[in-house]
Amino acid sequence: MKSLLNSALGLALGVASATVAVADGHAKELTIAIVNNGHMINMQKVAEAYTEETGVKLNWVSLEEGVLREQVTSDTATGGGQYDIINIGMQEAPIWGAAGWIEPLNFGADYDVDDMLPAMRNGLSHDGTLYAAPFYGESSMVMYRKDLTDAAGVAIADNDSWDNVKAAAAAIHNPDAGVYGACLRGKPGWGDNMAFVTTVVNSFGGAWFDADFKPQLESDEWKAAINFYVDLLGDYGPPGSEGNSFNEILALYNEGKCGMWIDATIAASFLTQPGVAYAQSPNAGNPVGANWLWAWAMAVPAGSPNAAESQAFIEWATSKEYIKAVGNHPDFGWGKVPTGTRASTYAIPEFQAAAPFAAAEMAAIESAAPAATDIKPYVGVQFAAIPEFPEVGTAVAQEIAAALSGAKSVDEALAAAQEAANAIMSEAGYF
Amino acid sequence: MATITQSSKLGNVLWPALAWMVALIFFFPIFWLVFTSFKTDADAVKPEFLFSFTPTLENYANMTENYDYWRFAINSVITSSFATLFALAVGVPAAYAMAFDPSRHTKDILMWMLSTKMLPAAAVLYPMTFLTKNFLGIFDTHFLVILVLCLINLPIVIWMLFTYFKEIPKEIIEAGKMDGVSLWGEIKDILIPLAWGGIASTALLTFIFCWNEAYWTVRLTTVDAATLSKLIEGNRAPEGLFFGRLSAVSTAAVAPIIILGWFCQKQLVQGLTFGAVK
Amino acid sequence: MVDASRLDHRRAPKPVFVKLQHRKVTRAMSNRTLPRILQTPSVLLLLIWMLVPLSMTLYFSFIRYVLNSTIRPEWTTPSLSNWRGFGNYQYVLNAKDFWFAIQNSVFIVSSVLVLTVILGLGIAVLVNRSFPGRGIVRVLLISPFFVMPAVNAVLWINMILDPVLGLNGLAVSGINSIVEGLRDFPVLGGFFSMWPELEPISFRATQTSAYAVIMMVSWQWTPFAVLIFMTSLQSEDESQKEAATLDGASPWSQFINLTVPHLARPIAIVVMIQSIFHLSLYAEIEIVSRGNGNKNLPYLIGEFTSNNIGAASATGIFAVILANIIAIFLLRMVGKSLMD
Repeated sequence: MKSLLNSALGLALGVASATVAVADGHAKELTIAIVNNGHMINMQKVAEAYTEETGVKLNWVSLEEGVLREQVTSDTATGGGQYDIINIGMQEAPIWGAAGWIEPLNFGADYDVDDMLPAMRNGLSHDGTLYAAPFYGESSMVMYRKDLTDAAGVAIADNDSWDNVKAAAAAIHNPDAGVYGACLRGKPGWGDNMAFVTTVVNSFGGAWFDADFKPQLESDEWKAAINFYVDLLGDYGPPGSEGNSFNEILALYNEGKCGMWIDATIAASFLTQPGVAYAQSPNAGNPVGANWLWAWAMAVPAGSPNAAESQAFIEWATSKEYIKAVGNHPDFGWGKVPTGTRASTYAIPEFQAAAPFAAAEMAAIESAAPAATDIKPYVGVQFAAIPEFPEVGTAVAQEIAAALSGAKSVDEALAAAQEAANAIMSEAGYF
Repeated sequence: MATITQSSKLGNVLWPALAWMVALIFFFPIFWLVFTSFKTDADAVKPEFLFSFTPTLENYANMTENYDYWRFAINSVITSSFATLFALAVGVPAAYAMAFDPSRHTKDILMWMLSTKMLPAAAVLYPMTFLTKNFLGIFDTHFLVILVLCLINLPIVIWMLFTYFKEIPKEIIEAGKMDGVSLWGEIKDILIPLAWGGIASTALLTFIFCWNEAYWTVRLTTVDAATLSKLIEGNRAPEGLFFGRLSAVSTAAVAPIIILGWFCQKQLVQGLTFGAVK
Repeated sequence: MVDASRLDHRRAPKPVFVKLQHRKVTRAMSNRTLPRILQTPSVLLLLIWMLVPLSMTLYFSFIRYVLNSTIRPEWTTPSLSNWRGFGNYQYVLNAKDFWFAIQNSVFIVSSVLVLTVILGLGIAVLVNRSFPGRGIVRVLLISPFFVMPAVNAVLWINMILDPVLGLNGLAVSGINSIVEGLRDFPVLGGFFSMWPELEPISFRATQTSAYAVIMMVSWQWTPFAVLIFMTSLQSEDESQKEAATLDGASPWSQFINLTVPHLARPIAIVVMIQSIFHLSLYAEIEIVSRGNGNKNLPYLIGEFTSNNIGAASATGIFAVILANIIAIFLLRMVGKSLMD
């Protein structure tokens, strides 16, 4: 028995050590954690050229967003060293930079860091130091079916008022024909429904926290904004909106079931339904604006043994050359280049021809204002760049989804959200 | 049995019809998954029912080209097989002792073992990550995945084997002892042949549980030891609508185990008695 | 045979214990020591597996420990100087959804148990008779059991239960158009025109998401129940049944009086194994609605793990306590019969 056990154990150890040996065999090997979005999938293919050129082997670990955050956070926080390059968002980059979890990025002159859109660069920096390089960036805007609005005799202007948007949604809403007036995010998650909901709240003049980081979820602005959101989506949205986020709505839109969709600008490059028109997000005149700002960026965890190679790869993957490489790639082309990062991209004629949404996207990104203001005393548009935000955002997101489902009234949901947010913030030591 | 069948002519038609209907309903989601895997991502979200699309193999090509399906699949095979083997290697002697030489504490030990299986993985996730990464340095190795899969299934293995072994008449084992057969001989020549059905179905069930385990295998691996459940996690994207691809990956991940299950169905049915046959 | 005296001092048991055993058991000494040696590896492995991570969880649950904090950076390293006593427990007990999560954990597990046992019994009886194609029917029936949880959840919530793009929406609009068509009939039309237009149910809403989880988990585990029940039905005493038939007992009374008692033990097995697995459901909860309306304890722990390890650990300890309460309860109820 014992010998059997021993040999079995030996075999397993052998398997384990064999893989270690293989890993040691290649000196230059980078492990990159990514979310499985379209642009990152394409990168895996485009980067084959990089491997050929430099000899650096790339291991891609693609993960679902939530699992990615969980893994990358615990790995980086404890210095686990599993990844050489990590995909993080604009919410994490400045906080992790401040905590010393990720390396500051220094690129050569060819990289032309000044070409990077200022909103992106600021959002991914802490104290003026860039900690993560944007792979693709996005803001939010209105995408709508011009054929339907024309037929109904309504129009949606740039930075229109919410009341006009609602009236337009009502005019094109025709559930018998399978067309719903407005498709908006409802799936709970700080990066899902709360991304959109926060922009609505911002445009109503509300904010997550006051200057002392006390949650403001029961303020009049929040109440007005959430009531508006629940009414709009309840009256003119598709059934099951509380389960919809980007993917689900994209499917609905491409099936011709949405008259209007307010979401990430990146969506525009996936739309197949003809007759689409774009407008800047509705705004009620608040200086914070109603556009969000997000980037999927790449960063190097502190203490990575391959920091130099990792920086070199990031420099390549976020460069002007990379964008050209995608544009000229036989499998992809100019319609599929990662956008929202560099001003120079928008000046490329081939890109302008392939991307009718380019101007609207650029305008949306440029008008997004992540900086702290009197109304919103924290960095970030649709989030707050503090470590506790994901927890607060998740708790509030579920309450908003409950209000949208009709399980709670808006007031009840906001009261519960406020209580939860208060508990989390006071637990974290803010007050 | 025969009398019941003769007693109602109507039952002769209705009974099989009902059985077939239930079976088809239960199988339908799997059929739908396989079916969707032959659609493009754009077609996959269309609610139209049947054949209004052109079937494509592009999802499967993409899966093997871009996602290295075989690496994940081989890891799944390695980790599930070794974990099953280990669990049996540790479990058979323990169950043997519990079944043939029970003490007053045997039942308590068994119950305690089963209760460890109820511990929520999420409760110890962070310590486990911390421990395996920062202290033991075995994070993302086959060894770790095998060990964890083995440990989480060990209680069920021991319990199942215990119930089988108990059905074997003690006298046979005693007779072996009288003849001076060694312990190893006793297990190898008497116990294993007698309880073969039970051991085989325990192994099968453990293998299935290992293959489908998706909490630890996703969270304790990065690249080297990543299994198919991690491949599936990686194909769910926040900003990308890939139902066609996801269906293909899912089909390819569950197909081996379903086919194994089909082939071993008889074995599984005969073996899953938990010692209930008296 | 292994030399008992040599083994004895290696793992010397408590003397009192040996004496007691000695008096009771007439067998040779080796029979008491050998079994223990054979059991040692598994007991030891499980003990380490249980104790090491769990004691770390216990430690974290008594200190302030967060992954990242800009205002209290000292909390980001686990250290005794951040000792907090029962503070994390107090926080967790008052946290949103804590009691809801416990309730839901129990609700989901018990609903799945009831559904799978009833469906499993019915289907097992159904396929226990021989009919054309029984082999294929059985193969089709057990297949869901082999599907990975994440695949199961994605498949059900997106492709089947989605109210617009899934088969759910398709079926409801199909029924609506049939009803619409029937309204034109001369006599029946009056009846059907009273029918309201059906709205597809959303299974990601707060009110329904727990049912979506119950549905998909039951779909996956009913085949397991069928497998176990099928095995057991095959061992049923046919002569008893035939005698009952001759006595004029109806098939139903045969089922209740003969089959169900025979199935008591397999039912216990199904209940036992399933509760073990379903107490830690995670992927299904996440994929259906991210804990909106269907949150269980493991999912709540997952939410805390995003930053507050102290609170996550305290919740983990509560989850362990809940699991043990259920384990004791279950083992009392069904365990005893399984051991005999």
